[in-house]
Amino acid sequence: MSSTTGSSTVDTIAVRAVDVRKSYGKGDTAVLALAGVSLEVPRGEFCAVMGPSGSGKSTLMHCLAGLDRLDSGDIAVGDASLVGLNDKALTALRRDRIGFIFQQYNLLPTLTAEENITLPLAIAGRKPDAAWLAEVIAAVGLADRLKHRPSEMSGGQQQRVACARALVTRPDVVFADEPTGNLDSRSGAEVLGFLQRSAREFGQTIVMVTHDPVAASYADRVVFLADGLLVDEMRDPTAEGVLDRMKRFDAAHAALDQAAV
Amino acid sequence: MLRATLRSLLARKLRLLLSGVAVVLGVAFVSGTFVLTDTMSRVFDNLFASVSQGTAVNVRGVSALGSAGDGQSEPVPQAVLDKVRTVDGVAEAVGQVQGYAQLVGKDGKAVTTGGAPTLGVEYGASAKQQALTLKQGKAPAGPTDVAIDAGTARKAGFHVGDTVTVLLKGPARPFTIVGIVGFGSTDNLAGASLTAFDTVTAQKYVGTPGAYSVLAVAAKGGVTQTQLAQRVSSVLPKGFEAVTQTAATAETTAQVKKGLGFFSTALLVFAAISLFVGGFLIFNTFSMLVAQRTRELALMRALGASRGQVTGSVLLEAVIVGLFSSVIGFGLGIGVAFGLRGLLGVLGIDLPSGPTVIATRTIVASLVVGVGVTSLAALMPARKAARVAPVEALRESGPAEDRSLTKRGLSGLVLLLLGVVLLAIGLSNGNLKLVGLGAVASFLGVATLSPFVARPVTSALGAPFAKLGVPGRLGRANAVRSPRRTSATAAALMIGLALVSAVSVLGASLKTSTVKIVQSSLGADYLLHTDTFSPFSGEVAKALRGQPGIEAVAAFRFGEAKIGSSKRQVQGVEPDALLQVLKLKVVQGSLPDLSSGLAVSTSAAQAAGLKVGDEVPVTWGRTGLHPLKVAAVFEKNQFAGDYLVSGTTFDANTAQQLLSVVAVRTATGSVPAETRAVVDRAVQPFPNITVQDQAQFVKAQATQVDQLLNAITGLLVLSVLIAVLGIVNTLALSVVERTRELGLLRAVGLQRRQLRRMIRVESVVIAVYGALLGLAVGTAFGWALVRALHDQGVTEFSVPVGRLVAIIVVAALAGILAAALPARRAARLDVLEAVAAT
Repeated sequence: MSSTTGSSTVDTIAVRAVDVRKSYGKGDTAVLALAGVSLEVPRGEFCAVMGPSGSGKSTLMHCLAGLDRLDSGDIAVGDASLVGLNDKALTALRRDRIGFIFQQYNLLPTLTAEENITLPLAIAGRKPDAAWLAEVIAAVGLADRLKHRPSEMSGGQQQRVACARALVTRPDVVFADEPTGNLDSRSGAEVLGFLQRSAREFGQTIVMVTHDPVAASYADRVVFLADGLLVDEMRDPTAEGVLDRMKRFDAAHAALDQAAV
Repeated sequence: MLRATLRSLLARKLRLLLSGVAVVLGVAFVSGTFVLTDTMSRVFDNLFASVSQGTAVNVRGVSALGSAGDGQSEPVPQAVLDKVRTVDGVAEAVGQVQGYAQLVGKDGKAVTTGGAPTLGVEYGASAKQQALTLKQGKAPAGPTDVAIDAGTARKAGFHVGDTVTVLLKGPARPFTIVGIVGFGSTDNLAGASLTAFDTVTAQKYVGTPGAYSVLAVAAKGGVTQTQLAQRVSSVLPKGFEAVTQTAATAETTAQVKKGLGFFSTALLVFAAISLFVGGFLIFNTFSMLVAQRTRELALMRALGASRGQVTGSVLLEAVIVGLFSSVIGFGLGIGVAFGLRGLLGVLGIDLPSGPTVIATRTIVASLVVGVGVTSLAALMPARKAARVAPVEALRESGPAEDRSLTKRGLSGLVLLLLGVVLLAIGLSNGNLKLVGLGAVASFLGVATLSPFVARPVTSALGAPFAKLGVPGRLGRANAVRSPRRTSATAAALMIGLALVSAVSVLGASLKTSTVKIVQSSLGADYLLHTDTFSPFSGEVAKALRGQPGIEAVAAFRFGEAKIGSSKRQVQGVEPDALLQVLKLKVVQGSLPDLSSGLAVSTSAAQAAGLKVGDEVPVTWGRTGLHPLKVAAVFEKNQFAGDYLVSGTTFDANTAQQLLSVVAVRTATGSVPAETRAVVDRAVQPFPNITVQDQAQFVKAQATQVDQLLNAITGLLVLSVLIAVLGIVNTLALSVVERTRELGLLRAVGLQRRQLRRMIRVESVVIAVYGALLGLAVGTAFGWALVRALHDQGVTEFSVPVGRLVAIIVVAALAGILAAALPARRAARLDVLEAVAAT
């Protein structure tokens, strides 16, 4: 997995997208979701992807995570290119190198919190690294909830289980899709704080799609997507800065709408 | 509301199609049975009416047993015929003869009819009153001429001019086939073989010389059947009666209809089983649909729909599904009827051709049954739908299972108890309707209680799979997670498999009991009978008597007589040989006294309060009342039955002087191989006779039991198939319900192959659970049956372990099969859409 040439970009870039294009539908009704996006996320970075509805941010994440196929371009997670892989190889790659956090928690109701956390390892037939598992569980603050089932936990607790599940395989990258979308602000803050610490303390690369400026402010960098193109980025963002930037999108859209009328 | 119902129906086409198939199959079974039996019944009506067209009145001996025309009555002497001919208004009177005659085929074996009669008849001179139509050659007109029916001729490969040996009640004789005949317009009479002789020859070999079985009388113009019957009646001596042809035909068709009635009842029972299983499938489908639609239903309630409207909308959905399935099932049933008829034809049972009869009753029954079962099964889910609170529309959580477990436990126990009680009463009275009701209630009870044990049992069943990795563990967890759903799905399979295991247990017990009975009650070394235990010539016994190494020959005649006021099976046998061939323990009196008396089993003696010396009024079909003294009381013996008379007494009082079984005891010290050769040689002229030693007899009985077992199992396969369909349905619905989970599993790296395995494990666990329930219930049923049949000779209870294990293995395989489609669908889910699904 890790290259011997310590200084090469392969070793320092966790996810790379090169001129990614993706459209849905055919002929006249085709919608261009990604119109040539290039992006590099260095190892250990917590990167937020923002943009108005329909900007292509979810599509980008799905393509980066090997859940959706590209029309053209290249995507690599670590040193592995996703292009041309069949379903079996993609599945194995997701299992071994990618972690997921969804808006809807998506835990298995039949499994306990602990079983949910170790599920990707169990699928791969690997034993969890006990020390790492304990560290992750401590970090999400679930040590006393391990034997509980999802139905016995609050939304925030469930999402923290999902976070622990994403981290437990030490993936090259964790993709989080609106992880706080279903949570109240306090639970949301806990989850975001955990993601931030994962990046800073464990060096975990995280790509998070969100439309919430406050959530984005936890990231190291925010990239802005509009109409399928990467249009801007912001380092060490603040909620206010992000909000201002987003308002400009709204203004541009309003102007566009005006022009159309 | 109506539009909403229809939309919801269309949106769930596949689901409803699957549950509809169960109803389609059940209804097809019902309508097929009705169409087939109605058609057959009509065809026979027409046939009997057409062959007796010219006859106005029948003259025959009065049967003292009250079952007219059963061939047990006194033959009509020539003198009576002569007298009838002089009656005013009689255009013509002819005597008809009917008895036993069986052809020996070109291969030297008797031509068998699969249980249908092998009839010998006269070929009358009258053209007016002739049931037989000559198809080829000429009518038999001499002591060595016969005409045979076209169906048998075709089957056995006989042609006009061939010589054929005919087995008769006396010695077998050679004849020349001079003609091929049909019965009315058909080739033969529903599989029976017909051998026609001229009248004198028929009297000599199959009837009574100088007498007839029945007289057929034709009327002169202007004389009605009733008038003629009255006039003929006035000249008849005591013991004979004149009945109109209309009445006689009605008797015959009533017999045919009774036979058809048994046939159709048997088929309908299996149809009912299929529909019962189908009901579970419908119940399950609608329960799951309602659960999945909780939010939608709650929204409707929030928008102002009343409870009644919600219940109504679910029920309407069921009615539409039921109606649709019934119509298709009805149509399919007509095809099934054609298929069954074709099958009978292949088996050599030629049915007269005729138009297919589709009675209004068939249409109504199909619709009522189909719609009824569907709506009844959907009733509970529909009521549950109405209990959905409007607030559920706003809740985030998925469908939750309600937890009124106490109520469920109580109602389950009550149902089970009721079932057991009904079964017990039904079995002890021989009331099959109660037995059926009891079985239904027991099944419902077990199905209701099953969720209580489902969790631990399925968990244990899944344990071996869980050891094999994540897919196994998840599959097991899915089977365990909703005990109600698992139970309802498994219950459908339970029913079919319970019935299969019950008959398996009964079969095994029968076989074990046969061995025991033969050991404890049979002293004979050889048993002789025909393959179907049909009657055969008394010459067989004569041929064996006095042969070297043969010590005793007992000829058993089976018949009916009224003992007191009720009809009983009576056997006639030589008293001196009886003790040699049966291990009969005489409790009271002595058997040699039997020659002019009656011997009674202890149980019959007890029931009727009889003891040695009592005089018992015995009424015979042919000769009427003849009191007999009880000569001996013997301990119950399955071969002896309850009532024994001497062969002489039996022959003197019955019309048909044929044997059913001959039992042979060899001399002590004789060599089995030698005596066997002696017996085989002696019966060589009778190719319809099978010779069996005790071991062969036991084995043959076991084979018969197995055949019956396989036939019943075959008929139950449909219900098992429907249950498997139910598993498919449940899994398919679960896949839809768990879309998000499946999406997540795929997202975090579960391979398609692993996903399929997960669903297979769930399916196998459900199927094996159903099989275990079935085995448990079936073994209990089997035990109850065996107990109930104890007096009929099923004294041993035996569990066929191998067969039961095979049932579980088959169920597991069925589980794998059932998982195929849902697993494919699950594996094909788009990960993105699945993860985002609501």
